[in-house]
Amino acid sequence: MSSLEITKLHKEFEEFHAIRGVDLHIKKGEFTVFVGPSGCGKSTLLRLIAGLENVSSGSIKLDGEDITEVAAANRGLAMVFQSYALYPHMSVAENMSFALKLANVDQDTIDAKVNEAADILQLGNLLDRKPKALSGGQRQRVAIGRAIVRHPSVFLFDEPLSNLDASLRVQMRQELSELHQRLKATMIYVTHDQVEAMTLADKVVILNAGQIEQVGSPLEVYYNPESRFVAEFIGTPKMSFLPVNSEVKQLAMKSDGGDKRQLAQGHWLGVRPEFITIEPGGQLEGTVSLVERLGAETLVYITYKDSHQLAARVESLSAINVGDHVNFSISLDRVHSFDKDGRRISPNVTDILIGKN
Amino acid sequence: MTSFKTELQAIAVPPMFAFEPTLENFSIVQERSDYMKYAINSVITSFGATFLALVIAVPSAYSMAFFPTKRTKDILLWMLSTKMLPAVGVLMPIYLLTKGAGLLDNVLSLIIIFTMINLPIIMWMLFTYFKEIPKEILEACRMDGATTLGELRHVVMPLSWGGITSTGLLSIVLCWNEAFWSINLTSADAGTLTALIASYSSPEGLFWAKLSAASTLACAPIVVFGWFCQKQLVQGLTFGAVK
Ligand SMILES: Nc1ncnc2c1ncn2[C@@H]1O[C@H](COP(=O)(O)OP(=O)(O)OP(=O)(O)O)[C@@H](O)[C@H]1O
Ligand SMILES: [Mg+2]
Repeated sequence: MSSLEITKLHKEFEEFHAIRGVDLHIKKGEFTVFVGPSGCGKSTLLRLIAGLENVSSGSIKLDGEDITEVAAANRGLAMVFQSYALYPHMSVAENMSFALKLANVDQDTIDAKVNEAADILQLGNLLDRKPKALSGGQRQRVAIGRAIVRHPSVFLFDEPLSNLDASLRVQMRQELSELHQRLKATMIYVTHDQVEAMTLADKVVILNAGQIEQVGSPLEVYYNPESRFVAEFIGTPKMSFLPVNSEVKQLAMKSDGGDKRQLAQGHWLGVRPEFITIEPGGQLEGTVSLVERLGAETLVYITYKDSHQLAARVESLSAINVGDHVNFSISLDRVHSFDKDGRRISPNVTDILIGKN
Repeated sequence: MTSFKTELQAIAVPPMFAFEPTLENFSIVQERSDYMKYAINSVITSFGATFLALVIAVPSAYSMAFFPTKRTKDILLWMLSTKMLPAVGVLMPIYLLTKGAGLLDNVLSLIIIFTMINLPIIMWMLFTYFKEIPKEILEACRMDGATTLGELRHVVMPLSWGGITSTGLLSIVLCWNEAFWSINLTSADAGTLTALIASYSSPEGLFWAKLSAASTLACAPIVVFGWFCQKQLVQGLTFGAVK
């Protein structure tokens, strides 16, 4: 169990600046998730921590000790790869014991550790198999087992579940969560699946184009997104955005209090689907463009002013159909507002809207 | 076939297909020159050169396959292009170099030259075999605490063992059959079997039957060797396909 301190980290590939100044502190025992769209540099950041890529500038400290120039083999970290990367010519047991053998650990200790890991991961009866003869889920477990036996100071996971089918993914996600409870180890986990991020993380790090957009607990980033990017990225379906036009402005003016000058042209209001209500008395109008019936709930996508699509969450058995003209209202007290550059305008801005509807 | 005929039968026109086989040629060949000596030279040069080439090529191919730079492709192509240069072109300089080093008619010079001749092909083959190993497996190995040598020993070599052996076998066969350099740089002491064959087409005349006998003797070991290794070869060629 270790803490990690990343300072002013940069990574430039030949012609591409992949990591652009990352500062991050990861506490002992914390489950940190890097999340962001494809190509934003999640894997690169993880590989820099692992030592599989050379740092261009900046530093990485493990428990206060600078490891920026230490070779991957000597950092004492364990990594679980998206492709599992098991040694195809070794059995499950050999795969798991390889690192310990390299470290000249005696056979009894190795056996004990392998058996312990096999118990945790229910791999007991597969120890003699070759990776070829395992299912995807089992391979993933072996890859995790290979990390567990080493008692590494930090576990690194690069999209470990993305090759599994949906139901197995949910199951493995829960197992990983339990594993973290049990080992109390520091873990860093890369994913572009925000459900994984929200469910697993103590701390979510949202990356965009090689920079950190926001760091926070899952609920913090959900309720207090600092930028439009984060607001849009976290939450399914996505947060909807309304341009601040005269109609919206009028709505807000009718509400009392607050500094209404902030509602300038070019700003955006962001609304989560649960805060859009379709009701006959709603002041805004739109056309239903898509209805998704998910069973427990139904999602209605409304086209507003011919160009803006808003998602609303309605009760499961709602009779709304595609093409319907609907009136809707917005819980203005729960709206976020963003400036032209996508930065959130101070949280108080939304307060001025409180009191309407 | 011809090697089992007498000299007269051998040059008969039209060629004879039914004849009394004779071993006479073989014994003459053996009498005139010590077959075993040439054979041993062949073995030493081909195995020695192959071993040396592998020792050089495995680490180089490893670094080219797993740590490619912008120039890696160019280097590979350049290496292959050296194979296109006719050997005669460099005969003089190499002959003089060997002479200068006092290594004329010496097995060592042959080993060095054979190594250099086959190195490009060996590098290419190993490079392609290594390329098939997923990069993540090596990275996993590094994370597990292995040094570069450990990576080679525990992962790269076992995973491409089939490829390495077939490359080695190919190299042995190529060295064994290499005639140009052994004829030009050796005579009695370090001569290989190919040099022995060549000695039968001498200014004193062509001895078809004896030439064939010598050829048969020269080819026999490598054919037998190849036959025994066939299983290994086939295994090697298919091993990489299963991940
Ligand atoms: N070895 C490399 N050479 C050059 N560019 C690279 C290299 N590795 C990654 N990149 C670039 O760096 C950027 C970040 O890549 P990275 O793999 O970290 O993305 P990611 O966030 O993990 O994406 P994904 O979710 O698709 O895995 C990408 O634009 C990629 O093209
Ligand atoms: Mg990635």
